[in-house]
Amino acid sequence: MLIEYKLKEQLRDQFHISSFRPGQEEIINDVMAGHDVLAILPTGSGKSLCYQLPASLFKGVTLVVSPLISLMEDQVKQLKAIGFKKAVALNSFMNPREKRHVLQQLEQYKLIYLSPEILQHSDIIRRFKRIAIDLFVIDEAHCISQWGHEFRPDYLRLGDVLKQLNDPPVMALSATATQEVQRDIITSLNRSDVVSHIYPMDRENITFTVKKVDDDRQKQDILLKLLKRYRVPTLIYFSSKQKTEDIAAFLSENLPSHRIAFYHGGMDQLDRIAIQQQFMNDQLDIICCTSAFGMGINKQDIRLVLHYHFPLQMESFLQEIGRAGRDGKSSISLLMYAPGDEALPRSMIHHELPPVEDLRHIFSVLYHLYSHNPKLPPTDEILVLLGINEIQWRFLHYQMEKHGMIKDNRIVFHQEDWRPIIRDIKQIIITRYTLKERKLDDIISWIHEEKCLRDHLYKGFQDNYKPPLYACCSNCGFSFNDWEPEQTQAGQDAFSWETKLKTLFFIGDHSNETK
Amino acid sequence: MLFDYIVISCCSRFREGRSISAIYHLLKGRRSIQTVQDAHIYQLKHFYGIYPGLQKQHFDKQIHKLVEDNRLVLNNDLTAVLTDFGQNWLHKHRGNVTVQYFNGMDYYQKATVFWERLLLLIQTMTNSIKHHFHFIPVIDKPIITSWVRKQYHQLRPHQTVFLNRLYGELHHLLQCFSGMEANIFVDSLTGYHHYGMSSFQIAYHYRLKQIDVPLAKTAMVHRMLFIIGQNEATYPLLANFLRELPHESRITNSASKTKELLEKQYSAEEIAEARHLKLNTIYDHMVEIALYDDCFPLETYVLPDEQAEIMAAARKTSSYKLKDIKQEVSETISYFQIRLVLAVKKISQQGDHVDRI
Repeated sequence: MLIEYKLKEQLRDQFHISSFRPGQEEIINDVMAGHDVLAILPTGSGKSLCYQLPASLFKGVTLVVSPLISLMEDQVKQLKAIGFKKAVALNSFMNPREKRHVLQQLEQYKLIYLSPEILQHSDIIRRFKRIAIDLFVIDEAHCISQWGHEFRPDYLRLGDVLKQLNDPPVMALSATATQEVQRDIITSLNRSDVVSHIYPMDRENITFTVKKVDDDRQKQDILLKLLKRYRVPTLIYFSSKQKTEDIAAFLSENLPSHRIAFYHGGMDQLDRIAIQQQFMNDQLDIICCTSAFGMGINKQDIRLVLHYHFPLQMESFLQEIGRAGRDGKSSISLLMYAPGDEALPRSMIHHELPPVEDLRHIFSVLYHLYSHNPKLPPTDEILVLLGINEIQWRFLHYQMEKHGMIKDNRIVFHQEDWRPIIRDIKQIIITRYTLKERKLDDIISWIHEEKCLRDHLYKGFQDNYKPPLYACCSNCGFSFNDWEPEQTQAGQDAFSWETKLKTLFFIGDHSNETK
Repeated sequence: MLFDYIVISCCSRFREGRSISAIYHLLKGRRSIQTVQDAHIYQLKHFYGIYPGLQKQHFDKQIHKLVEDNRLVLNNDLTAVLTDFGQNWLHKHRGNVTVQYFNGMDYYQKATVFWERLLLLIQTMTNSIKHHFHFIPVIDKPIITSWVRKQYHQLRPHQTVFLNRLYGELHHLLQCFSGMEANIFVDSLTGYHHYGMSSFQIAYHYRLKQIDVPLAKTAMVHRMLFIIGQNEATYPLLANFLRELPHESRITNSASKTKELLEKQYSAEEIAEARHLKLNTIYDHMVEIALYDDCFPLETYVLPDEQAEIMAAARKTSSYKLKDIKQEVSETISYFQIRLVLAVKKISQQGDHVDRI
């Protein structure tokens, strides 16, 4: 009873939330009791609170492993905005002075976000060993699994990290994890007593539609027609940064009444925050974005999530459409497909794995390096020498380390070993290719489904799903003619700078005199 | 337009004496002796450090365009010259008002601090007056947030008065600008439930090139700093944004260590030994210090007669190459002494190894 009271009090005072959402309380209770927890909760159900609330009550530190720097920074910003100041993001892109400053006073923090990469530094581990860690959180835990959609070698090393940190209680969190992935997560963390909280992630207020077209032009025509008719908070997803900019310009040109912006990871931080916050504050109607947009965004009334390009796997798709209609009102997902659209995701897959046909060459360069000096040169030099990108090298480096070809950042050469190992690595790459291709085929086959889209979409992830609250999908007879969401009222933007300045400073507005 | 104009006028000053990348370093405000001396000797001080956020790839792309448009010709050694067309274009736009706002060498550090403090304090005060404390700050640099926090605590009891007065000063100040400039400025500000436009949005809204937006904003801020500086009594609140500026050393870390030791009266040789560095490295530091420190005790290292001799030789050779100057002066004068004199007198040296720092 006391604990329950304490949790509620903290929820109100620190997080300004009046009650728990489904699932949160049960998960938090298990965490507070020191259990290892695996929690699969749909996007937008308040996953982060499940560790943030316990962290704010624990005496020691809670570590949160997070895959994206922008995501960590968003989280820390939001925590600071609500007055939770003892949070920090630790990553490899910090300047050394800041990093040193944080590392010198680790105990000062309640919540430390970090990348899996930074946990590979032995000096960092040494520092963490000296402080009390009450909880070790793995956010986006599907990254651990080779079946997960963002396979990251350093995630696989987290099991080791846990051992080095004297096995603190673990919490693994994800929004989308198939049963395969769940099993993988538990095995690789080596925690068999884990308490699982799996919540279904089907969204009963989202209607699924797929529109097949002949080419890009037709996609743009559909966008125009649809967005002319509906002025509602809208996200449009693309696989290419350039395309977000191009289509945003095209739409702005043709929809002068709508407020449109683009968003991608290549923009600087100030601009990214501006766009996110404008969208949150209803200053924008449409955002053309890459998958970089959305995590950490909690806008309740997104009505339309459009896919101009489709993602590499169902899991990403589910996460992206999951941002629609968090307020429970009728919302639509529309995916547009033109013949040949497969080419882009296929080439993206090829950028994520070392090319099998170049493997011989790559290893002969590595041997050459070894005979000069076994110590590995800096990463940027390696990339140039081997002619591969950073993601490919990360993969290769992990495999070489695992097979004993790299130790303590030095190349280890044994002639008799190298040949079979290279054959093994080649086989692993081929398996990964096959897996990724299969994931891609899954989503392509969903696009071409002629029966119920909802049924096909959810059946890989859970046994059952709730009946839809509104129309089901385009194959079950949905037509935009029947959809009449509440529209955003036309804004007036064309004020003089003097009026805008007055509004900003509340001049002539006497309702806000300080009390 | 703004960017093109600046690049082309830099080229016309540099002629073939400097490569295109010298322009890049100048605009970024690179802290090297070479770049600072370039700014002085080619009279480009006003452009120094006006575009700290410039990315190399965008710079290169824009240069490429200028070459394609036939306004510039690139030589093999990556120097650039104006074509006749480029010359005419430059002439035609000579009266450009915005370009005249720039005063980079004096304002390049102040301008960013002023702008970021202003942005964040407006956001903080307008939210606070509405009792809304859960906003995401537009600026999160500790050096800015700590200043704003301090101001906030002092101003809190008088929020309404403060906002009214700050509005009054900004309104007055913005009268000195064109309607479009004032609009861009106001659209960039963030307040209560309202986030300012990003540079992309401003570019689109005002039909500007993206690359010009940061320049246009910086130009306005430089002009504002000038006006505020001239009329502190008219703009007491805005003038306050320029007090307690963060102390940013312009020299490299290693050089500043050397400076500390020099100030404790250690000799260059002793410092080299203590820091396990080569004597020449310490000399490099000293040249760097001399370049930025207006009180550098030049006499300690070079007698007045020797200084005069070096200056005379520099003028005579007019190439400012160290080797040429060395041949003109007495044998007892060292390269180090020549470099020190040139650094203090802000005269660029060409070639040789001065670009090391």
